[in-house]
Amino acid sequence: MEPDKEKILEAGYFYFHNQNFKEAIKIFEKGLAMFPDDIDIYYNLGIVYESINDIEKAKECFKKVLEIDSENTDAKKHLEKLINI
Amino acid sequence: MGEKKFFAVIGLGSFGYYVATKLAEKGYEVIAIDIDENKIDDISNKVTHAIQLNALDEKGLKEVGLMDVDVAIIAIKDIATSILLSSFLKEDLKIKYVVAKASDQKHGKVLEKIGVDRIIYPEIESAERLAKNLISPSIFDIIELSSSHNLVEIKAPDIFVGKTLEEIDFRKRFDINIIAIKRNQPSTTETYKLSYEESIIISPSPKERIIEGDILVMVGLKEHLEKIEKL
Repeated sequence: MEPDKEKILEAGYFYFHNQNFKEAIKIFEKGLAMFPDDIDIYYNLGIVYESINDIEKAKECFKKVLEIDSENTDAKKHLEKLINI
Repeated sequence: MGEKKFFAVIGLGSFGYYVATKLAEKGYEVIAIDIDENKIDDISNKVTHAIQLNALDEKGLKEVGLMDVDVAIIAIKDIATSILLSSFLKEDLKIKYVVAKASDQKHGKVLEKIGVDRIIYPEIESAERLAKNLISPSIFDIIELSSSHNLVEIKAPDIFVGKTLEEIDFRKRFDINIIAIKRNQPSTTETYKLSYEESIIISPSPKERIIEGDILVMVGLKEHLEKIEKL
């Protein structure tokens, strides 16, 4: 994995675990500016949004993952769940 | 609840399909019945039994043991079929609790007369929810408890985040009770792939601090709840 991408995922993980969701979102958004269309970052950002019940933004992230990788079962599972809310 | 309930869902349109699969996901035994073979194929690995049967085949319904279920859910669009089946399940099979989907008020009235225990209007209910949600996207659910009281699930407004229930003092300021908080807890095991677990804090202590994304489950007078919905 690209070292910069690794750092982004680690920092996002750290903020998410400390329930500092706003910072986690900022980090992943910065990450997307550096690595557009990166499915790992989009997926994690989707999870952060989903966990804070920002349903529309979470859906967008999972849709983006599926646009890039239509077979991504995790993103599919989350999107299906959110559509049912 | 004591012993585990046993359910039957008859009619597997989108509503019946979701009810049946949700109950099965929650670990209950579910018999799903529909006349359409394709619908039975779709659901067969998701419920306990999936049986292709005409809803008016009384002999067939008896043979599959429908009288043994605790709750039967009739999710059939066709009004005549839904009424005939409701009456058969209540009068002949003596099923304890029958729930039926009604397409409109007239249909609902007839079901009520037959003795259906619970009538639901999914179209009307979801339209009401959608309307509410469009007005205030932070409302996740509303259950009418009486003509004056509601139970509302609402995303905690930003101004409450970081404060304890005691500091906000819902009872004094808004005259409502917080009966639970639904919270998603980060539970990641892999560093690079985030995940969370849903948790519910029943009857939270006054010291409980609200976190961003919390869903507050509140009970109170409708007009008092509306004040919070507008925050």
